Amino acid sequence: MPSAVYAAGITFTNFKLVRDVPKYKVLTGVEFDLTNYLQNALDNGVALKARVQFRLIEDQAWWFNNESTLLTIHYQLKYHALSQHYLLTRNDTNEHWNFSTLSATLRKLGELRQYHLPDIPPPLDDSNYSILAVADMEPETLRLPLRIQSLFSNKYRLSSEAVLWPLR
Amino acid sequence: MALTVRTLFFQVFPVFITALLLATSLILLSISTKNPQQTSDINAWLFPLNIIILLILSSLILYNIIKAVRYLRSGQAGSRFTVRLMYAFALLTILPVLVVSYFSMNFIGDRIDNWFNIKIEGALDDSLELVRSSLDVRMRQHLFDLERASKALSFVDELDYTDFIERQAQAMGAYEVVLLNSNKRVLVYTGEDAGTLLPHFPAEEIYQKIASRGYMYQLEPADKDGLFSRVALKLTSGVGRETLILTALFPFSDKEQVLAESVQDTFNQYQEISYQRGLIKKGFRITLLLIMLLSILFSIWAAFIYSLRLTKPIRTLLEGTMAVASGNLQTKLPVAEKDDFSILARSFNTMTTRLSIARRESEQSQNQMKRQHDYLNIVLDNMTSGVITLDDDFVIRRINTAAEQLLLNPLRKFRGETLKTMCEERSDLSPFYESIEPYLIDATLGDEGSSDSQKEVWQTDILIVLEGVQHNLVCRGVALPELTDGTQGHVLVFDDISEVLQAEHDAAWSEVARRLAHEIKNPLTPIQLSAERLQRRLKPVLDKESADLLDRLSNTIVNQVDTMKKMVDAFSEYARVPELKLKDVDINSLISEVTELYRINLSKTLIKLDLKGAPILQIDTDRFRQLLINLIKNSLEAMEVEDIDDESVLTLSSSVEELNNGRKQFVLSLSDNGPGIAEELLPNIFEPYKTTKIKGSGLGLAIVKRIVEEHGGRVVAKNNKLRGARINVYLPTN
Repeated sequence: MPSAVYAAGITFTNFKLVRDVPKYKVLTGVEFDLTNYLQNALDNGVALKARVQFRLIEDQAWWFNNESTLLTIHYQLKYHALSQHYLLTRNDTNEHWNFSTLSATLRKLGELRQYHLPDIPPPLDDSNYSILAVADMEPETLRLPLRIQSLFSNKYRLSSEAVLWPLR
Repeated sequence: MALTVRTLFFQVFPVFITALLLATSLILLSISTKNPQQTSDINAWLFPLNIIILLILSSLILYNIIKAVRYLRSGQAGSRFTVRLMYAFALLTILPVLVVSYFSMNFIGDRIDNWFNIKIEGALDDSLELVRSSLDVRMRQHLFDLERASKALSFVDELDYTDFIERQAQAMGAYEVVLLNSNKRVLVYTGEDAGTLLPHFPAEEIYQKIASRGYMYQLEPADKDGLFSRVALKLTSGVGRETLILTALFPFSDKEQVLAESVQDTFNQYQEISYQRGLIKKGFRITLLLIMLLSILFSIWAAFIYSLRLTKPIRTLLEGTMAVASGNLQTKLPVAEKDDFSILARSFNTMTTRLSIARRESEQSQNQMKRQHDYLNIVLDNMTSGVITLDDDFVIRRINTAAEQLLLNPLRKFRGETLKTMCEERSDLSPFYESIEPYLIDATLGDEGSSDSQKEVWQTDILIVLEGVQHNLVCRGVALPELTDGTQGHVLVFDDISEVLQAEHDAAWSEVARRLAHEIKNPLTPIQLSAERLQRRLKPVLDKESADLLDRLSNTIVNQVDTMKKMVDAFSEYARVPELKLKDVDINSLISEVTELYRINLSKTLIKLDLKGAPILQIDTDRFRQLLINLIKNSLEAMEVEDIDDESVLTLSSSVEELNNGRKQFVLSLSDNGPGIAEELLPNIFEPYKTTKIKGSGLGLAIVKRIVEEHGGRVVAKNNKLRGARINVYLPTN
């Protein structure tokens, strides 16, 4: 069984992958817990970008695993000072939502229920194959000092630990 | 100097590539600093690029430092100068960059802080509030319109809701109007665009806000599609009917949209920049630091390369100088036409060429001198005169072969020693030094105040006993001309004139002997006859006593005359001109034969023979027999005189020896255990009348010497170490 791994800031909860022939359906929630820096940055007009990615992993016994990206969902999160609303935009579908509170925004951001993954060819849906899910969040433009500092600290950039779901 | 492929590959190419990378990095840094929003892709590889450049430059500098230290430790020519130049260049580069960077960093911080002030921030807040108030009025208007529509709706039949709401929406200019029931179910929806451009319908929020007041209005941004006004209110259509929610989305006018967006964007940008003020300063500082670091590293590396290139001609010159110092005069420096060092290199090459020629000439001169020296050596070594050269301190500089032969000593080892030391070590040479020392001192003292023309030649006779034989040397000395180093010296030339003197001596003795023989022998016979006649005539006429007296006197006269006759005969023998009758003789047989005659003798001396081999020599048998008789008689008579406790023994031994020059000589040795020869007599023992014996003519050994010399040999007399004397006769075997 996969284990829910709690990373600093972003956590997958109740991760579940259900076979919904011919596709796979994701049943999970993603909890985004922003650091003070990111929260303040957002309130001061810094746009944040979030990414949830699903990868297909082929386990190799003697070499590095083969990886291919199945799906990446990009979000943008920013604060609209005039309306005092948080704007959440999903980039691939161009959908957007307005929320007056950050918590409501993050809840919406973490909704991944009944989400269908792209088709996986039948020979690959068993044996050594797994689905890996990761999520991260960072300012849309990371300035140079933060870019350097983010190498040594997770204060400026959040990322979840990977969740692995074997396809068998 | 033409660029070689190696120089191109190892020096020019790395410099070019690094400079290119550095320039690229700096340009990207500049772009990144100007517009951070649009350069995220650049930033992604800008940092690794700079790290790579830093690593390359650091590696190159480290390589150059290691190279310089290795040169320094191995003591390569010019390494110290190169390192100093590298150090100076690096220092000159680093210091200004550090100073400029320090002030630039502070300056940048101050400048950025000046961008933000309270007035602007307040104005922006006020602008935002103003826009908000303005839009608030518009939203209230929208609410009023919706309220009016809702009142009208309460009189409309539920079946006509949709048509009514659509008409009202068009009349109000709303984007969308939605009627919801209490369960959040949409009863009626009418809108211009139900696509994704508009935000998702915030039903949850509307219900929450409307619950308390019965109405709500708020701004609803739609990302890039502008700003909308969301209004909603609760309506009850009649008694017993359920409570419904009517909500509408209104657009603002274009002008309101533009103004609101402008204020929003400006406020947003200012907020963002203001919030990231520290980061911007850090960004600029890091950029500056990176530029400074890269510039310093590049400058240091360039300084190292430049130092190495700059000092290369000097290093080449030093290497050339060291090569010349170590004797390689063929060293030539490369001459670059466009180089300031070309004159120096040309001068160096000219110098080495001239030095090379000079050395060749010097070698030729040295060869010539060596040839002259060899020539002089050959001349000196083949001279019959002994030559010794001395320096000012009487230190021996040269001794020729003849000198060693004349002084009967191996003396070449004393080269470098003083003449005095040599003569002290060889005690038999002491008279030699004692004789010439005053002259040498006089010559030295005299030289100090005299010119070359005043140098005087001095000469002295030296009497010296070598190996028991007295030698008469004549030594001539002269001060040598002054040498280039200011030293002078002396040269001593000496000859052994013993043979000449001996010859003169012998000639004189021969003359004396001949005259004596001639003048004395003639009257002796008449004297003897007269004495015998007197005896014969007077004896009968004299009384007995007188007759006896006459007999005694006559006999005395006769006996003395006989003695004198013998003496005259001996003189005759000594003075006789030799006419040798040489023939091959087994000399040891001859010795045995003669010795046999003396086996029985008055002194009861035991005669031993130790004769080796049977050498055949060309000798005059009679003369050699006389030689043997004289020698044996002389020894026996010597042992008769001394009262010897032990048994007296005379040993005759003979052998054939090989000389250094390969020739052979026959050696006859007579050794006795008698009293030996008095030391004062030893040098002249072979001269006539040099004897301590009472008996004999005093010519025995003189005749021996004469016979030996007639046969081309030599005779030496010396005392044995313990007792007795020894006489050695040396004869050539051929």
